[in-house]
Amino acid sequence: MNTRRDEYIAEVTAGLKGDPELRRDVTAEIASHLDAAMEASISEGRTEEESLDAALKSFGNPVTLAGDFLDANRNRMRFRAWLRIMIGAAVVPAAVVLAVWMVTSAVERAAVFSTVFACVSESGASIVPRFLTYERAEERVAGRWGLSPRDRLIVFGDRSKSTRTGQQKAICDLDPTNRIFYANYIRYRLTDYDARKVELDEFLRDVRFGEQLDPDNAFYNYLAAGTMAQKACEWVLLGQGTNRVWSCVIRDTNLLEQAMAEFQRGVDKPFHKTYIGDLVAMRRSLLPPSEIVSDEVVKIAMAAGILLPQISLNRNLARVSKEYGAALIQEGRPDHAAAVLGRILPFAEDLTQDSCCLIEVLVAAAVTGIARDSVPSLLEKTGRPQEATIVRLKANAMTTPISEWKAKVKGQEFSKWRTRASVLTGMLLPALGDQEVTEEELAPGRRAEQVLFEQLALMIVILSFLGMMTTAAFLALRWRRAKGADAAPFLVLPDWRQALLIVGVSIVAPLALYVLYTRFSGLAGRDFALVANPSRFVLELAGLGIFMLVCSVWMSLRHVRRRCRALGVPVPATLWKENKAWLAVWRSDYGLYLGTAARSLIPAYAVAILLLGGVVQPWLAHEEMRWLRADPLISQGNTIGGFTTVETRLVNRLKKEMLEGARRGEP
Amino acid sequence: MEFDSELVRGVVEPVVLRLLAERRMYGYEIIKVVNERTKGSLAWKEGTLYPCLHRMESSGLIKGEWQEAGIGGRQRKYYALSAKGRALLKTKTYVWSAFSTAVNAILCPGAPA
Repeated sequence: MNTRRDEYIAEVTAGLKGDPELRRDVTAEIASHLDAAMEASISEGRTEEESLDAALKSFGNPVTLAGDFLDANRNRMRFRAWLRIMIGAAVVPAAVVLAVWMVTSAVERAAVFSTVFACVSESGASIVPRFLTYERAEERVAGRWGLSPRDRLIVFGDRSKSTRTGQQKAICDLDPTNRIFYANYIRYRLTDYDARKVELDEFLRDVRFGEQLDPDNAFYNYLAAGTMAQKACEWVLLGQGTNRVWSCVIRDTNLLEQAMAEFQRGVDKPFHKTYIGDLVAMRRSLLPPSEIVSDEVVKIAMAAGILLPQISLNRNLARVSKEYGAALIQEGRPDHAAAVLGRILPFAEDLTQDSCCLIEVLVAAAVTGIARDSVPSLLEKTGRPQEATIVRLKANAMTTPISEWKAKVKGQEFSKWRTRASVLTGMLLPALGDQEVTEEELAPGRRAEQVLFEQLALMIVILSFLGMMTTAAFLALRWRRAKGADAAPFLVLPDWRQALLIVGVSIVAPLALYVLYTRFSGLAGRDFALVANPSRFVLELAGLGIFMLVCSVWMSLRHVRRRCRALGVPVPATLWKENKAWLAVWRSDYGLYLGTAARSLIPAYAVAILLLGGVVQPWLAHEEMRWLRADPLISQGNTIGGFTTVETRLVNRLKKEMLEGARRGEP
Repeated sequence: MEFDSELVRGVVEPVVLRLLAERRMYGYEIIKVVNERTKGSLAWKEGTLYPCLHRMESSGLIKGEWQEAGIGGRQRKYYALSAKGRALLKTKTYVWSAFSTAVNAILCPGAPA
């Protein structure tokens, strides 16, 4: 009986076969009508056969009806066909492309981070974040930054050269008379000398060229004096057991005398300048404003990556001078000793004056410390108590700001700020000892970091959607092949109200609540650093992500279930059973439903990816840029010569206090 | 009396709109109600009604929704009037009233207006 009915319906709906869902809808509607008509007819005493005949006759000629149904549904079919094409050819591919692009971008950013920044284990004990050589980031950021070949060379050096000195020499070749470029080159040259790749004479030739280029600058004289003193003296451990101390053994007195003469020439010059701050400022001026945190990390790494081999040479020069002065006193040459010892404090002032980063200030303070601790007593031995007093007073006044700052760094104030600072700001540990760092200054960096973390979570959610979409496509294909073309799973399209409801409840509403909670409620603990309570951040974002994933799938599946049930597709009775059916997907009796559900979930996942990747991610990226640029501690102006703004501020303050101290100590 | 089929086709849309303005109905129910109220004189056939329902649904005049008739009952597609359909019903009712008055004035001059 049903065969005749079904054949009749199939004939009536033949024109709709291009739209399987619509055809099933019309089929189910006609079948429902015929069944109701037959029931009424049977209840009036007719046989089943007679009832069916009457119902079919009443319905009309199937051939004529097929045309009428096709005409009536033509517009709808066209629109739905267009929608299916859009989904298949635009929405799903766009979602896949967007997800892949986002993942690639995220990997690229992670690669930039890992290129210039690493958490290394120190002696297997603690994990310490460190900046690595920034030059390796060139390939990843130079193109995006749109640097010209010349600017690229100035910022990164010539990476085609095998040695770092060669890379920096190429910058010098751009303009051989440029003092900044040459001073930069000579520092790298010094590392080659330290590594015994070049001889002293060869190195000193390069130093003399620099002196000719910049005759009033003491930098080259101190370099020459430092390298000669290093070669002339050797530090050896003398004594027994706990009394072992490092002692300076003079191996070449003539060379040491030359070093001391060179030292004096440096002290006599009008100024001392390493041009490190100028180089950093010049490079920064060539770079565009940062849009993402990793850009800023590369810039900090760029500043931090500048080699400072001269600082240990300078410290050694001061120590050797002190030892040589003591030796001269023992030899009975007090005047010569006084001259040697008298250079140390002016040298320290020169170093302080030129310092542009904290390590330079600390070395200048260390040299001042040598002058404070040893020089006065030695000068007294030469019969110059007045000079000794002046050195003691000046050196004391110069080192006091550093001692006070060190005490602050170790104090409570520092750990208080650390719980409110971003990881990146937290890396500027010494600078955080500065009492002037305020909550207003810390907040933007913290926010930028939190946004970065949110982007990471978003990426995981998008990847999950992409994974589920791929699985759904695989399942839809599996059931399509299993069932054959006639009974193939079809695409269930929700109407716009249902689509809006699914998107609104499962994606928009939770996101809006999350934004309200984290940005406006004051309950989300965003006043503290991410590292202060990481589990809370993870739980919040995991909860949001899981809700979006589960809710969107559940709502979409619920719609597909209802629709399939209405269209006469066998559907498992309960969700629990359905889940079981998903687990037993390869032997399920509900293949058509499972295939249809899988196929229909694909656009749902695609829309979710497009919404999250096309709307939420750009908003987060904008937030990251906004907070990054508002961050006064990390974000750097192009004129800053130090590593970061906060460090430069600290360095300038310490320098000022040290030099003021030096002036106060003068008679 | 059997009406001309073209005449019958012409009134299907306003009649359906009018019935759905009273309550939502499924196709079989609409035919039953029409035949009851007209005592079978319109003699609607399903082949006339369903394509018209689909056309109206496609145009957004009505909205179809599948629901079970009672718990565990047969799935039926119920149609309900949309806002657009309600507005059209108003227009059609006014036009029909004016039209029938005009035609009556010629064909049945003695009949009340």
